[in-house]
Formats: sequence, structure tokens, C-alpha cells
Amino acid sequence: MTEQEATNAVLAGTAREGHSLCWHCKTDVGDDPLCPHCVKLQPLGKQSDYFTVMGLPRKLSIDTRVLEPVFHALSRRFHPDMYRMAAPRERMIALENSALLNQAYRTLRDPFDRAAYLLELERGREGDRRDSPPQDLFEEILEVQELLGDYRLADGSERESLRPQLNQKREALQAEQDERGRDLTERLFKQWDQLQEQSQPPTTEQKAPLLDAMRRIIGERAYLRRVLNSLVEALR
Amino acid sequence: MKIPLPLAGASQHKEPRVVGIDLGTTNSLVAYMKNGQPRVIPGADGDPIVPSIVYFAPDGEIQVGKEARAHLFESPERTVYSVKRLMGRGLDDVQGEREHFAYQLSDEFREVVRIKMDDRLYTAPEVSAHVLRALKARAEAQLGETVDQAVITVPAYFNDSQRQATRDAGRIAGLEVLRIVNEPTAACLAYGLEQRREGTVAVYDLGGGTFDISILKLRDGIFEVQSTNGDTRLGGDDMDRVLAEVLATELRSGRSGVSIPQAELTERLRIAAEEAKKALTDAETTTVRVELPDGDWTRELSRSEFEQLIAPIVERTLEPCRQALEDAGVSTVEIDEVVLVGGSTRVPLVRDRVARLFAKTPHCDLDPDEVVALGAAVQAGILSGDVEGFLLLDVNPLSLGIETYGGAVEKLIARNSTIPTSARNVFTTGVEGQQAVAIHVVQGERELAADNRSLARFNVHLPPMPAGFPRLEVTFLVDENGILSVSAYEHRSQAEARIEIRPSYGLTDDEVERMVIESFEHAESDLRTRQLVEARVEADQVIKATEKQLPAAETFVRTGLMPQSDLDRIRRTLAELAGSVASEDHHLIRDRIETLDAASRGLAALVMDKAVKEAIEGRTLEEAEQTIRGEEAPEV
Repeated sequence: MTEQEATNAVLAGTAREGHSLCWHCKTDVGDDPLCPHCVKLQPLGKQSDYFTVMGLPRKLSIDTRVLEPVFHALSRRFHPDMYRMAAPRERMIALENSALLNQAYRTLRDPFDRAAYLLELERGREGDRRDSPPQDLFEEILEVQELLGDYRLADGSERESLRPQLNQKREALQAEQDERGRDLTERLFKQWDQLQEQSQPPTTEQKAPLLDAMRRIIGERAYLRRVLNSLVEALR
Repeated sequence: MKIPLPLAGASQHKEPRVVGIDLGTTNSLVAYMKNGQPRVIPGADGDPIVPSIVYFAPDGEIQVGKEARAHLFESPERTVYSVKRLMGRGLDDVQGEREHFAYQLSDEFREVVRIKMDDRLYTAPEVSAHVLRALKARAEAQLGETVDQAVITVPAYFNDSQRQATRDAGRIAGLEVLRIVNEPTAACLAYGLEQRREGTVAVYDLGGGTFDISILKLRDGIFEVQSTNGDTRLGGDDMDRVLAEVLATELRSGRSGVSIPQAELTERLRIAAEEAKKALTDAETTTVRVELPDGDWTRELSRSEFEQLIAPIVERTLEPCRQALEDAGVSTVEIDEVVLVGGSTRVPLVRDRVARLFAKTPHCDLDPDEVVALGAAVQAGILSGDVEGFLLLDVNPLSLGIETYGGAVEKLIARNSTIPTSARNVFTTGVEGQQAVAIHVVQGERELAADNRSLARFNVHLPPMPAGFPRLEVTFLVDENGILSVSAYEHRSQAEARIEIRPSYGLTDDEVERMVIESFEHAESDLRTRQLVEARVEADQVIKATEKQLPAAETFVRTGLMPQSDLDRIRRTLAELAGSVASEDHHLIRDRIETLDAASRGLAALVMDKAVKEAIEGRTLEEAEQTIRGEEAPEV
């Protein structure tokens, strides 16, 4: 195993206890959150990812209006406030399950976080990544950096004259950002979901180009977001 | 939406009772659930409010609330108020405010502020514990049972150290704090319970010392906080102060000398300012009056002048509001209701600005002083199962991160994340055989660790291994109270790692433990003192009454109705009782009272007899009855 793989194994929790026996009465619980025999709350962490926690298939198009009631229902089941009378072990499980649920909801609610999470699931967490600028916008971004540099050095009246240009750049980049977002959520998401729907589980070869495309877009979005933030800050 | 039902046979509580407590900067209250409705618990005078003031008498007695407030003028350095502003803070944090407090702070302790009182030092949690203990006693008196568990509220923007300090205060007061709840959320709970509303609510909470703004979504009994923001150093106190400073300048220039100590003058000005502020809620002008020995000093104050003074303070509340809206991703249009909480929201200027910002009239049906305590009681009900169908989903107000190389911050948990929440990091070692990994946790939004709030330093221990070999998985867990706990698991050795915690602005477990013990000792001595005082008072009454009967007793002996030995015995036991009054032993005093009682029984019967005879002689039966009834049984 490489170092990265070892770390991933740690994070996936597979290095730890892998059984599905109830901690209290030792009945086999399988995937049930509550033990069918003694009704004690079971830990989620072991085989769960954010999709399974919320009872969803590993698909990227999610109707967030459907997500909320699921989140509410699961919150009622797991929240520590509902376990005040329980034994400390069960309270601890409620606490951990709740934390996992809240992270799952937060991540899956936002399409870009959702996609980034999928990549992590499929390919493991990546170490320090340097997001590179989108190739087709390379020139554009250089111009923006120069413009920002001029703006910062300029005084009052010069700044005023630069503002319209900066605004224009901001709008243009925002449009690029939005387009990339649409490409991700409308094209790539649908393609991914179609793969999941076919009768055979998708192969690595089938998944790879989609995941690569998603990775690129997410990286570009992150880069563009930083440039846009600088523009917005300057124009404030 | 489920409607909370009263418990069948609600009078018998099998489980211990949980109360809700609003531990405020200026005022505190305690509430409980009764038949599905939250109710505040009043004191003997009918008022549910307990001023958050503690007076330390020179003889060691401690008074809380209204009793304590009475000492503000004559002993300002012994009367501690607004101690909430010191909770979870170090000396450096409060330097700016020090001159405004009449009581003294110790320079010796930098991380946890200590108040100097005679030769003792008190931390803020210890002082707050006195207020909590008074509330606990009040609840016990009302409910007729012991109260050991409570839900206590804190400002939503309180950081980890401030929350821990509040929990510590509870422990010292003998209360198990089942839950720390954010004040705006609690207020919303009371409001939501009351109004059965669904939708998006903004809670604007301006108290004595803190400001919070929370945006919540209410749906189907779930109160989900979307975002929260605020300022833990902004409140009604600041309004008082700004006015008091103006008054002070005018007073000093107007009068050549003021013949009272500076500390007392500061207090008088502050209270006069507070009263003027309150008067201007309903009146357009008011007369500020400062009582001084050489004649009262007065000054007319108009509402518009006051508003000019406090406008910057109110303005400061608006930026957190905008930030909270942005973080929640909602516009003011999407806010269905605005709820006002905290006494300071009574100020007309505050109401106007809030109404303008949110483009709607704020909701002020609920008593802004009581609503937080009521909400805490509802949460107590949720925890004990008395209230069904409701759930609070709150968020952490500040981002949590760890300090990395070069002093930067790696953010682990973003602000406004729904809690409970957790983050994991895997660490390894850089040095051969390194046996500990040091982690510095900070709270805040800045890029550099030094610009954020230091929370604590964690020292994680591991067995010696080659550099870079260990796989130390550290889990940072923020629980439903918004308090952080850290655990670590080392994968190579497959063992939970031992962690030492050094809080940056908090008390260690040992210190709290010691304070808990001390407070029990103090409570016991309090009790003994009270019993002693009561015994002495009764002894005095008995002695006086018996002495009054002695001439009659002598007559009875002379006329042969009572033996001399009886009178001797009464005299002896009377002297013994009188002798015991000076002792510290209330048991002894009570024994002596009973002995005298027994010895005087014969005398009592004779006195009663005599009264009856005198009443009857030469009178009709009615007259005699009247006389006898009017003359009650002789006191013995």
C-alpha cells in the first residue's frame, strides 16, 4: 500500500472493527441503524459514506427538496438530545452518527461539494493539490492579474477609471464560472447517473473519463473562485 | 406539526426535574415546564428576575440579586455585576473595560480573570455559580423537590472557552448542565412553541453585554439554525456607559468637588444613566438625577439627544446581521418574522433600525426579558421527554482550525456548520522516537493563528516510532453544546492515544473540582449560619416571654399555687438558655429552648387559669369569652 492508500484506509474506517454485530446484545444487525433485538442505536461509521447515510444511491443529480425531509427524519433519530436517558455508550454513538449525518447533508446539498466528495470516494483523498488555471482562460487571467496590480498601485482618480474594466472582467469570469458549473451539473452529472443505472456496475474504464472531467472542472472552478474573490475585494 | 401534550398524571415526576436557566449579563431567570407550557419561577416578591449581581460582605456573607444590588452605591468594590463579560476571558481581553468596573481585578492571573475581594480571589465561574445557586434554591422552593440538572443558555456567539466557563459555573453551583443552548435559538423555541409558526425567522438578541443575530428555519417542529453572528462585547451596558461618560464630564465641570469616593460616583452615574435610558423608552424627555450628599445633580435629557449618543452602538449591530444573512444565503425579503430578544431591544432606536433593516415590523409579543428562560425550559422538556416532536439543530458560530507551520491556520470545521460535527486529521511525526504531537486549536475566521482565538493546546502521546511512521488519526468533535472534544487513535500501535489538554482561557478539571468542593463547604456554612441565626432569634423571644412571667410566678409561689422548686428550675434553665445564645451551636440552643419549655409548663397552666378567672369574675359569659379570646395563650 502506498502512504496515501494507507491514509485512505484509515479514513474509510476499514482498518477498524468491521463487524455488524450489535454492541449491546451481539445480534447481527447488518445495515440497520437500530438493533432489531434490543433497539439500541448502532454506529453508522463503518461501511457508510455520505450517500448511504442519507439512504441515497451514488448518483449526482439530487433533488434538494427531497433531501431536507430525509435529513430532518434522520436528525430526529440520531440527535443526542433524543438520547439523554440512554447509557453513555449509546449517547456517544448518537453523537458520532449525528456528526456524520450533518456532514453528509452539508456536503450533498451543494452540487460542487457533492461532486468533489464523489471524487474522494472513487479515487481517494488527494494530498496538496495545486489547482491550475483553465487553459482556455490563461491569457484572460493574466490580464486580470495585471489589471489588479495596476489598480492596487493606483491612486483615487486612476482607480475610478480602472473600475469599469475590472467590473467587465469580473462579469466575464463569472459567466465562465457559471458555464463550467452548468457543464458539471447538467452534462457530467447526467452521464454519471446513466452509468449507475445500467444493469452492470460501471467499470473503472467507464468511470475514468467522467471523473477526470469532473476533477478538471472542480479544479478550475476553485482557481476561478480565488480570482473572482480578489476582484470582488478590490471593487468593494 | 405535533402539539406537545401534558403528561398524564403530570404531578408525579419519576425522573429528576430539569429546569431552564437564562444566565444573563444583567438579569437571570429560571423556568420549568408545567403542563406542557414553560413558566418562569418567581421569587418571594413575585418577580422572576434575579439581577446577576453578587455582593461579598466583609464578614464573608454573600448576597445575590436584589439584596446585592442594594449595596451598589455604598460598597461598589464589593458588588460584582455583569460578570458574564469576564467569563472565559483572560486579563488582556478585559483591560479595556477594567476602569468601568468598580471592583478590582487581580494582575497576577492572565489567562483566567480573577476578582480581588479582601484576601480572596474569585474567578468569573465562581461568581456566576452564586447566581446559579440562588436560582437553584428558588426552583427547589417552588417545586418542592431537589433540582440537580439544568439547561443553561449562552450567547450564540460565545466561543468554546466561554461555554466551558458556563458549564463550570453550573458544576460549582451543584448543577449538572445537561445542555448549553444558544440564546436566540432558545428564544425561537419559546416563540415557535407559542406561535406554531413555520418559515424563516431572524432573532435579534441585544442583551446587557452581548449581541447575537441568528437566522433559523422552522419546519415541522425542527428548528434549524442557518447562520449566526454577533458581538460578545456589545450590549445595553455600553449604552449606559456612553451616557454616563457624558454625565461625568458635565458633573465634574459643573461642581468643584464631589464629596463621595470615585467608585461610588461611577456607580451612581451608571445607574442614573440606566434609569434614564429606560425612562426614554416611553417618554420623549426625562430628568437624569444623581443623588449626592451635597445636593442632587439633575439634567434634562431628550430622547433625540440620547439616540445621537447611542447611534454608533446600534449601528455596530447591523454588520453582523448582514453577514448572517449572507452566510444563510437569504435576503431580507425571505425573512418571514423578526423576533426581538433582550431588554435592550426596548430602546426605540433599536426597534426602528431593525425594522428598517429587515423591512418589517419586529415581533415583540413575548416578554424580551423572559423569553430566553422559557425557551431553555422547553429544551429541558425536550431532553426529559416532556416535550415531544421538537428538535433544535444549532450551528457553531466560529470556524475551528489548527495552527500549522509558519503560524497559518488550517480550517477544520467551517463556521455555521450544523452541530454535532467532526473533522479528522491524520498526523505523523517528524523526529525519530518522537513521543508527543502538539496541536494548537484556534477559533475564528482569520488566516493567521495569532489573529484568532486560542482555544487550547493538546498534547497527544504516542509510543516511540521511526519518524514519519505513526498514523495518528485525531478526531475533533464539536458536540451539540458547541464544545470541542478531541480524541486520537494511533493506527500502527492500534491504540487510543492519551491526550493532555491545556485550555487557553479556562480552568483545568482539577481547578473546577476544587471549586466544587469549596462551594459545597460554603453552602454548608451558609446553612449553618442561617440555622444559628434562627435559633438565636427564637431563643431571644422565649427568654423575653419567660422573663415577663417571672413576677407572676413569684406570686404563685407565695400563694402556694406553685412549688419553689419549679420556679428555681425555670430560673436555672432560663439562665442556661441565655448562656447558650452566644455559642455557635444551634443544636445546643434548641435543646435549651426545649428544656425551658418543659420547665415552664406548670407556670403556663397557672397563668392561663388566672387569666380565665379574671376574665370571668363579675362579667357576663360573652364578655368573659371575649376577654379570654382576646388574651391569647401565654407565650412560653
